[in-house]
Amino acid sequence: MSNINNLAIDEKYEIKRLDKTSDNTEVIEVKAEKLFETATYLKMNKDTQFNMLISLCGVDKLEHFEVIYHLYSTIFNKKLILKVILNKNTPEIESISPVYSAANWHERETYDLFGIKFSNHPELTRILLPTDWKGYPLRKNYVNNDERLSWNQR
Amino acid sequence: MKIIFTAIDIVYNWARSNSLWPLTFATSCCGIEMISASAASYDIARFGAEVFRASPRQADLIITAGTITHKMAPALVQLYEQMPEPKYVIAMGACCITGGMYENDSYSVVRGVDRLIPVDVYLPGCPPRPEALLDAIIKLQKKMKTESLLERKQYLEAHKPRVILSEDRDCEILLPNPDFEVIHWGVQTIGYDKDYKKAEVNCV
Repeated sequence: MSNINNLAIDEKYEIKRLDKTSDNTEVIEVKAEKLFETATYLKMNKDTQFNMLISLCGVDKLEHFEVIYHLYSTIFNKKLILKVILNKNTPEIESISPVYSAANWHERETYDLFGIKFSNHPELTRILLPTDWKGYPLRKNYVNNDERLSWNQR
Repeated sequence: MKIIFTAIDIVYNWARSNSLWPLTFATSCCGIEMISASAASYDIARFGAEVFRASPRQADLIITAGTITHKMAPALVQLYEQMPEPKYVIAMGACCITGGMYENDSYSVVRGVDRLIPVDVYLPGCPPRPEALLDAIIKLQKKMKTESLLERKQYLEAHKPRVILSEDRDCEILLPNPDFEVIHWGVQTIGYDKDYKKAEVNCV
């Protein structure tokens, strides 16, 4: 048993501790296969009770993608940051929207702008951009060369 | 005959310029200034433009207050085309005029609402103050008072939207109008690395 924000977590989830943030929030790294179990555990366990997903976002680190989950426990007033590293070519991870319903639209947005696929998501379509948009704009190697948008080039 | 028409125009223009019905169209922070201009302290009603309509079919002025993105652009063009003639456009704020702070390398923002619809008055500011909006309305009224309806019709005929709505329901992006030449103001080079030009865009 190891402690996260003074709360206990089982070691079978293979978490890796990273440096704390400036406001003393615990940051942990989870493997992509273990994410769903870990999130379920963190929400359901009596000692952790991270019952709220504050935000979910993607990061393009050039070599790999990251998905970052900010969890919050309204019972203990504790925050936790979960990081998952995905490979560059086929970024795919299991959706946590069955556990946290707030993740639904956040995951769609991450898919929309980064092209990270969330398996088992109820409706993984574009949420902000037009449905027939080409490419994923927040990727570092994105370049907009859609001929339909030629009227808007500067 | 021309004298009669001129006399009619004077009365007609006086009447319609003092009763502008704007369309409620606010896409970002300029909309807050527009609301403020219509509230008691600035009181846009003094200039006869207080009736903000929710339907484009009842409006003859559209104040495009805010950033226009590619997703919003088809809706804006459709609203503009639904308005009865004679119709007028005030481009309010920096985003509407050139794209503002998104002009340089944004992937989603339309670089100036005049690429979509013909603009009568440009109102700079980020966002402009309510007094500036009142000033724009006074300028528009002056413009309306010095033109004839026939001229206005010719103007609108010559300044049709340069983009068209797709007939395909799945296509949400505005397409360039084949009747008009697309003007390139420069080459859009996004990114900070030379390798980016080689990158391919992945289709959905």
